[in-house]
Amino acid sequence: MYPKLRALLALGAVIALPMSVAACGSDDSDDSSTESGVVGVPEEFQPVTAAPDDAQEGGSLTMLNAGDVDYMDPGAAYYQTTYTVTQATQRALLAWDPDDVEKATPDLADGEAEISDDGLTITFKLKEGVEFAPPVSREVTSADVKYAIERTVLPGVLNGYVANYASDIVGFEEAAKEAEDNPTGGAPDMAGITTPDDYTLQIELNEPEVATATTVASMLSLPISAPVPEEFAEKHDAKNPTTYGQYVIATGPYMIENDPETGELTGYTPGKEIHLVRNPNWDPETDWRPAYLDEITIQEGFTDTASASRKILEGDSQMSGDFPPPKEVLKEAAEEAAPEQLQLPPLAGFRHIALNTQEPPFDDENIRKAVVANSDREALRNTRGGPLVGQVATHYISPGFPGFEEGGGLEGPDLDFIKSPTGDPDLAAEYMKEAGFESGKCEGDICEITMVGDNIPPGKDTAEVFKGQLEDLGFKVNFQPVDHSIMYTRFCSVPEQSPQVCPNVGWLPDFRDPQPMLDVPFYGPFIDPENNSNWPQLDDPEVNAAIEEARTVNGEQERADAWGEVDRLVSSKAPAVPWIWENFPLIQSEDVAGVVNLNNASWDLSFTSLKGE
Amino acid sequence: MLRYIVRRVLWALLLLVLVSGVVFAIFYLLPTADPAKLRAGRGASAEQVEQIRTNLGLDDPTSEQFGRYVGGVFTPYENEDKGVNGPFDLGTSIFQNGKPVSEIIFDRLPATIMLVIGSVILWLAIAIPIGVISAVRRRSLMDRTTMVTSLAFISAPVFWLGLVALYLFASDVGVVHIFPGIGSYNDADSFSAKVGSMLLPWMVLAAATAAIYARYVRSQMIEAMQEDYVRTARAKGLSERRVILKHALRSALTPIVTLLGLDVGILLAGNAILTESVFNIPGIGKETVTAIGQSDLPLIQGIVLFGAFFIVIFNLVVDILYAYLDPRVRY
Amino acid sequence: MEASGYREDSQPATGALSAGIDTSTAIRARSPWRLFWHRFQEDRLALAGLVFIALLILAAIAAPLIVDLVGAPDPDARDSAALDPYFATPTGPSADHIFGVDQIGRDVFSRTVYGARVSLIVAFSATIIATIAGIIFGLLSGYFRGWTDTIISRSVDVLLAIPYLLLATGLATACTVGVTNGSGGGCLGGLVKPGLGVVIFVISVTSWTYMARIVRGQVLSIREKEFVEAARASGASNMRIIFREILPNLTAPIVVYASILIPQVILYEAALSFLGVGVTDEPSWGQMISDATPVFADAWWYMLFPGVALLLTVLAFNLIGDALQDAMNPKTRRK
Repeated sequence: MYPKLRALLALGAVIALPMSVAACGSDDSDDSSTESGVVGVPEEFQPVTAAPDDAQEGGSLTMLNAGDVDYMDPGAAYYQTTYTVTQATQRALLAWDPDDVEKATPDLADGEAEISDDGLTITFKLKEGVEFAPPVSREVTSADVKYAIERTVLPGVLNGYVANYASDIVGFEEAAKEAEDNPTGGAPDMAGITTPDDYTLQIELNEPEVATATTVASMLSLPISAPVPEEFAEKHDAKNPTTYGQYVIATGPYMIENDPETGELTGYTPGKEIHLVRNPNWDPETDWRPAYLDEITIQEGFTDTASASRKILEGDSQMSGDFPPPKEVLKEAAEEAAPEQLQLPPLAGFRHIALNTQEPPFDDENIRKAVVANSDREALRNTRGGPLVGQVATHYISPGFPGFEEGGGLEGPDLDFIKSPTGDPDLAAEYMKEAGFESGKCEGDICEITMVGDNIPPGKDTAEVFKGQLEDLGFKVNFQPVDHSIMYTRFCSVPEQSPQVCPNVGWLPDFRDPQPMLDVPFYGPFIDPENNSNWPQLDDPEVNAAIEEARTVNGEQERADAWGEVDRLVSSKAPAVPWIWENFPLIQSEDVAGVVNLNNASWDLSFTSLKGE
Repeated sequence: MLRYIVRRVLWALLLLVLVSGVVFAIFYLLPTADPAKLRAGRGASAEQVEQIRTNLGLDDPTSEQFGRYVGGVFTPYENEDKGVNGPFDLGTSIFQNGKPVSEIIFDRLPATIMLVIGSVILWLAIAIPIGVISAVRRRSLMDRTTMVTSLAFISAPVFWLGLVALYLFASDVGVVHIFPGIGSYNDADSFSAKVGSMLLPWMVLAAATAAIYARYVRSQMIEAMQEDYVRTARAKGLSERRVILKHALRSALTPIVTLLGLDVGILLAGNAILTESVFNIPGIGKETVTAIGQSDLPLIQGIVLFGAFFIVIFNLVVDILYAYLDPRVRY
Repeated sequence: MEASGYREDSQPATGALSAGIDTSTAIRARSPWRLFWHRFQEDRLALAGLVFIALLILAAIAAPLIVDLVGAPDPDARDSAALDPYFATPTGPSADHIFGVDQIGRDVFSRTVYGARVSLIVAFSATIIATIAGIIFGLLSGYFRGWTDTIISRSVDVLLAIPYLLLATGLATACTVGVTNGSGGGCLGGLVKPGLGVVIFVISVTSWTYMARIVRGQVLSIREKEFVEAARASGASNMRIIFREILPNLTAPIVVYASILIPQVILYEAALSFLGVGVTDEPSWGQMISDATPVFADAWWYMLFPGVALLLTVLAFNLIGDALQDAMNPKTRRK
């Protein structure tokens, strides 16, 4: 069963969960790129992933955001910028150290997950002495993690991904059904999650259909495994939607300022401000985060990202949150700012231009290949900035991610139409001829197509450039520029309304595994009438079968092989033009020693400190 | 006189109802898109769309819908089923979590009011002296230069003028760093900081209008100075200064007052949209731009109707004022 | 007659922002054409404006030729090599691109030249439509008075009570929504198509009212004149009286007002483009300035050239309009 999937709402910069790694080889044999950091990024802009030795304790920091978090509730949190907050305020079973790229670090868990030999049981040991912030102020037990996971099936919690990966947990389907039938009856019990004692959590799986034990364990590095105190949260969870988001209890080094009696968050004004203070119940002995800062204020609503970026660079504010500086400010930062003021962590995932494979003219594979062959992807990449902002993509799984090399590496798969990064008009003409257009250009009514894209740069520029490239091939393009979220909600994610071309879509995997990188955006049965993230609407029996098989593969290398193969297969069908593997530029003022969390491609507030005088 | 005022007020009220009819027609009847679907957005099933259709009563006869709409706007009409809660219910926004449109408008109003008032003061302070002097020194070099210069200001698109001003004077990106730049209004936390952030927008918004007013004052002055009573005043031996300021200017300013009322009304109504979007001032106009980007029709509709209120009210005030000021008006 | 009735004959009731010109001068403008031309000629600035507009029209028609002559690329050609090699930001004037390039490498010179097309097409068509509509409604309401007049005049009142820029953006949005859901979008059942059509439509709809008021006021006074009475007495039909007796006497104010309308329409179109509801698939000056907004601090050339083109064009029309007005009204003559 595949419940409704959630599309990535990449609100310009407010991108949902990224999962990323530096370009380290995934196995020992590949030593060429290890330690070289992010591919294509010069030394001086490489992300800093450790605090300086003499990092200063104390002080308060201001961060600027264009938008807001999606949900404060760790059970629903999904955006990159939300994770910046949850990283500092919540302790999930596993968490990501700034330079973790291969594997998460045990956080609430006392050591890595133990997976039984049959691959059907996952066991976590929990640390002792971890306490909830006021007003709950008691020790965290395994029951709090069990509750945290169980409540995510409540319709009122608005979790968008758990069902995609956790539905093989014993009792999940039953719990999900119970919650659906009685959405205000509290979190249902999931038989497969047990707590043998206060510090042990056990998860039993059925024979895997959607996800193996490795995948489920990976998923638990997301905030859904951050403990939730049932006795405090149940009255909030009895509402639909839940109000726990306004009463979130922290376990991390920081907490959102709250009312000491009721726990209501007083430090969070949606769209305006998030105010983090130290969590008095946090015990540094149990944690590896240094937590230098005393106080962090995230100011929101800085939609004019150029001005906001300049404020930060000039020291009127301190850190960029959810937005990358526009390219002209990026240029100023790179050329004029002090070292380390600009850092460029890679964002796992890809941006692609989706061609609607269900409708003419792009139901014809040859026409799609012609479009891909003709597209100057370097020019597309340039709309977001030059080489600094990312690599020209040659397939889908991004550099450093498991399956990247197997899917074609930097060179790309052996497909003629994806070879030239600047486009190959002659080859495009060949494919057009094969599609039946003698002139090598599209002719007739079939070539009048609609494209719905962003109404502001850089998305709008990408759309304009691609429009020009289509016109070079003979298409007549009706380009409708709209707000980014409207592009998704009204058009590109609604197959019935979907135009022939969606130039501003992109996908970031939910967590570190090639499966979430590929199955949502290309698996046919996932095409959803209202909430679709398979934007090309690719429904190819071969691809579908390969994905179904790859899901059940166990072992890291085996999975990388299987999904690399899926990647190649998808590429060969030319459902889209993959055009960038992106870096996410972060900026800070001169007085801040920012540390980047590579996994989230954002600043890590628990490691960042202020520079001394 | 009283009868005249009553008649004007009644007409203004009727006008408002008629205007809401036109606005309703534009946003409900003209577009081909389905309002229920627009509202439902992504993730909505066919049943949910149907539910919204029923909730909002979109299947009801148009006249009934219009009645509800007008009722919600003008009368204390309440209808819990259809979510109408009058008076002054302009509907709810599609994209801001169903926030009431009136609430959004009141949030945005202060910035717009500040922008308009400041620039009105500025443009009058520029236009009246220039207009008077040009009229007095008619055909002088100064007169001709100012009149051609003013025409250039009238001809410049205000949003472009704003960009040029920012390019030259903004404190973050300007050639010379003088005035607070784009978005400084949002950062300003004190009144004086807000005033500072408004300096450049005031000048830009005032530039073109000041030019228009200067020309208008000039032509009114020229006409006034040819009137008999001005000649009489002169003949009586009053000083030229007194003649100009006391007699000529006074009669020239009468039509200016009415003109001003109308202009202020239309600016408050959202016509400062261009200045607001260039300087990123969170006013009514800027909100409209956001609403346009999201095709948030109920919000645009509400703002347009609200703007019409301003215009109608200022029209009314102007008419009544005019009746007082100008004895030639018969009523 | 009540106060509003008085006002509408003596000054623009809409405020100076929208009209800005004293229309009272139009009323007295009944000088013979020759005298008028003689006076107009004296105004050198206006002549310069006229020459500029003539050249601009030529440039718009011969845009491809001019672009070729200068050696500039096609307006839609994207020259990625012209962008900054490292950051892909636009670059300024150079030998290859005399006005620099925009954010995706298109030539600003050639786009500025082509941009004249949209401005002029919209300016003339919207002005013509608004003028014709204004004449028709003004004639009807002034000539027939009574109910016809009431209905038309009150409709004008209603339209004037709506903030025109918001109305226009709202209309443009409403007419563009749903463009991909099969209906192709549009208004009036698809009669008004998104793009140039919508822009001309919304500008015309919100601009005809002033013309109607002026024409109405003129007709009201003319219809009582002896020659009209005489025609009526001799049994001429209404149509004949309107077209033979009244209309010819309206030429002067109509010409003057239309000349005032043109520059306003150009600014109007630019404003709509700037707000993102204008013409999108052809280069237009407003659109260019809108695109230049996020990068104006670095790429001054991108906002400067289309802005100057807009300024000069509007100024030229304004100079002509000003001179026309002066020429037709001896009272406010400057020279």
